[in-house]
Amino acid sequence: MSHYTKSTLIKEELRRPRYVAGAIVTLLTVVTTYFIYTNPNLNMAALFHSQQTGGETAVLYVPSYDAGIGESGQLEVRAKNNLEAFDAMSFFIEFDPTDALSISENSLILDNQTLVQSASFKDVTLEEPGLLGVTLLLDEPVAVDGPTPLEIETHETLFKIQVELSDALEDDTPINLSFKELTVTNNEALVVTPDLPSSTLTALNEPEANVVLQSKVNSIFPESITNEQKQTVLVSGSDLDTVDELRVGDVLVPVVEQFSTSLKIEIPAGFKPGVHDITLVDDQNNDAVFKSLLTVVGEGGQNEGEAEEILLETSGSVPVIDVERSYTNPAMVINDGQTPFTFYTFVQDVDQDIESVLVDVSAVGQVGPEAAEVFESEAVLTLETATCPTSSNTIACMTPSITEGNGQWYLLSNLSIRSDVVVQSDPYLIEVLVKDAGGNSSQMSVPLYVGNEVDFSAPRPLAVVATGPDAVEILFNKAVDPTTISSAAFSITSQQGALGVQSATINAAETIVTLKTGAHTLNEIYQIQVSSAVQDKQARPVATSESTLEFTGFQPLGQSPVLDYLSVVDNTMVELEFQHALQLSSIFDAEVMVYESEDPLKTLNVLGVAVISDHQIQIMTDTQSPNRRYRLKINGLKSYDGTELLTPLNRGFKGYNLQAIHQAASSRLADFNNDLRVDFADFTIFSSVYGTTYDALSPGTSSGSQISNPSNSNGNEDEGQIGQPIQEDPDALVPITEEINA
Amino acid sequence: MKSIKIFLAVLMIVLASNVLSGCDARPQEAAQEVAGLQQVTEERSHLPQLAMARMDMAQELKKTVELKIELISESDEMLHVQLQLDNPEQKPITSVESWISFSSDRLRGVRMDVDESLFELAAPYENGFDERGRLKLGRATATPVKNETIILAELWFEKTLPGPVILEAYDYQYDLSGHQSVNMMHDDVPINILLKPNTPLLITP
Repeated sequence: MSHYTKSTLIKEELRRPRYVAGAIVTLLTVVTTYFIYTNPNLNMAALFHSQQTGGETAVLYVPSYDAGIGESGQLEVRAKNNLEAFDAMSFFIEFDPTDALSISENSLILDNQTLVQSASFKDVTLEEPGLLGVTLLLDEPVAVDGPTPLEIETHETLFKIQVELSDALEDDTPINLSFKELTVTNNEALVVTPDLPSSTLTALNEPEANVVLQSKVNSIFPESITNEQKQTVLVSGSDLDTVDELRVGDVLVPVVEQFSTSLKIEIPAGFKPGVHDITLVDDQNNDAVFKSLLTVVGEGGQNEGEAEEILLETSGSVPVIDVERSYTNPAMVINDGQTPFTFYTFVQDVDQDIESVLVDVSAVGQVGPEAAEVFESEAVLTLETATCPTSSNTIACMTPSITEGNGQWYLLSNLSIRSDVVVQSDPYLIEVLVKDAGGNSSQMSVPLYVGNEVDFSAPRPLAVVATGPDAVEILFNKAVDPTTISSAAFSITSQQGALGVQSATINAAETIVTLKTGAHTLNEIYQIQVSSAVQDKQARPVATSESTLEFTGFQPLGQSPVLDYLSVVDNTMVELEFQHALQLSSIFDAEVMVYESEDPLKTLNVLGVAVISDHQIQIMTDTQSPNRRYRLKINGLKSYDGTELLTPLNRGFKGYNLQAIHQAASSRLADFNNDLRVDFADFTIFSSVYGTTYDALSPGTSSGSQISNPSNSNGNEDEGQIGQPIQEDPDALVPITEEINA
Repeated sequence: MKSIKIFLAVLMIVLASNVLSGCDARPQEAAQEVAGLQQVTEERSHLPQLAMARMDMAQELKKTVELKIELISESDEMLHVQLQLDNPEQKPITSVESWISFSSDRLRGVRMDVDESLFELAAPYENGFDERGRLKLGRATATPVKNETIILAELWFEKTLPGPVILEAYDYQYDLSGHQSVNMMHDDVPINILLKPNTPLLITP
């Protein structure tokens, strides 16, 4: 530090109009001040660019060799010498950490195309309250011919200023909260890009007097939410910036924004309905606050031990378990301890970095048939213990299946229900927990219906497809009573109004209903509703909540089905995804065959076909042999418009290799920096944190030496390599580096 | 720009005259100006300190370590060299990955000696010669090494053909994506601080 000396100070006053957004004053420039500090060792200077606002101050520090106000009035930064590769560039933003204004740590985006072509190291750190530091290391030199100005104008440094609410507001005071993106284009003005979504919040009443509060929370807004979509909840109070984690019920909810007087959290869609405590944990103070979203619950504080154990940093989006798309096949599972069933769930994650999806079936069954021995039946599914693969057969990891949008299907097959599980009409609940690489997690309860060959599940439409200009097919999850099918049981509407249903017929399997309708409008989105008049064989009606589906008005395709993806999801199931919707009735009428590639006479039994969506199907088979090559042949399949495959679809796949899947999952454990590679960087990280000193010798070798003979060494299979522990340490994960393709 | 330079010149003259002759002769306006500036400076005295610390941190991560091969001895049959690092700023080094390539027609690696290496951990499968004319060295330590000169290994090659030999650093990249890096940890992330090695690292007559 001592090698910096202040050499020059320039001050220039520039008068700027104030910019006001809503009721909150955002950043505006009134006075610009420069401080130039030189570093004789580095031959560099740091320019401190001060932008004083109406009450708040933000300071931008720009390193440079020279700086000043150009003739055009723009701020210019000049380089006396060329910048070399590996030169460091530091930016600092200072702000006044008052109640009224703060800048969150991740709010700075640098897009500096002129100066920084590429940087091998980027670091954004909150140096202290009120000072954000950004450091870049240049990868490539920046040549400067003469005094070419590197104008701030071209830097396009983008700021997002987060306005924090003051807690001095009275009850029910409306607050206009706006988020602005401010682009510093030059020294003259701050150009304001269009508003980000703004919201109006309302200061809420003080909590009820009988609530046991340690301190901190004043209000939670809104107090009730629906679980139909992701919702943001604002917790306001005091000293909230020291809160280390926040739970809603048992679910750890990431804090997306955190300030001293407010916390913003996101409740994922599909969150378990009910009354949930909100628990805030401050690790340092070992205290907690309890509130409730729907009703206030007075509780004591969190146990110290629990508070100390929990520390989670989150980044990225929160994975969401879609309960509506979580189900078993068959829908009703049998409590005989042996009938296998498969559990499916759909998980959405915007940044698609899901690490593990686990399901806890310990309350009702296990993976595999009921056995005398149940592994770790006492295990409890918690965030801390949820790691794949598990050593339990009651808490198991689900296998990723088909990707759909930013979501992914997961499944777990070969499950069975214990014979001592009592049959009841209400579903049992099994817990599903999802973790992603960013430390985000979700946990949901999914219903599971148990029967003893009595099917309690209600009928529901699974998929609907327009198969002609005046025809629609609807697939049900189970056989329905043909006598309950009539045109009156179906209603179709769109923005244009109602679409008449003239007749309804059902197929032999009693699972697909074909409707003759009025003429469709091209590409019009229709909603079809199945009335509760439609019932299954046990006279259970279609549930109202599951009675509506959408389809698009018929458009001729003129193309036979095109297979996009084939996935082997486990050793008894293959999933197919087609480019376009299929004619639902053709799925069950099609001829499906699986045989071994090397011997077509050896076939693999096809046990059934299930529909996931209008363009996704599953084919259940006998157990495949690991790595054996098979051919899947399908004949008679039709696109939704009835165009049939001209030649049978024929696609190869390799039998599911459970061991390989587990090995791949294990190898990922050594990927410490989560870059999807296990390489020397992981080895370095491992080395830096692994406190045990290895014996650098292999047993039996001379001190610290290794003789390697290329004639018999490929460097990969030597036993007793140096650097390995003499005694095997089951907790040690030494990454394996990979060779590049030279 | 001219006005600023004039202002700077005036300010410097005022400051210089203040130092040389005391405050008596200074105009009142200039005195107020300087006083105001000093006040601003005092108020912000903590800022350059932090900025400087920031720059120091960046300097710490700057690439300053050099990879070298020292020739120890050479005969018609054998080549004996030492692979080492020059770490003039004594930065704390946690790991080193260095793959050295050579012509497998002319040389055959016969021995690597890591007796003097301070990096006690060996990366799996990176501790010997391969058939394609490469030495693979990957070492690390739980206690960072700060020596100015760090010996990584001594290497012995058998010459299979007469003539000059060349040893090259294999696959250098700015970060850790190559097979040539000297790394220090910063916020639990390894940063490559190895300068781009000379080409070739060693050539013998």
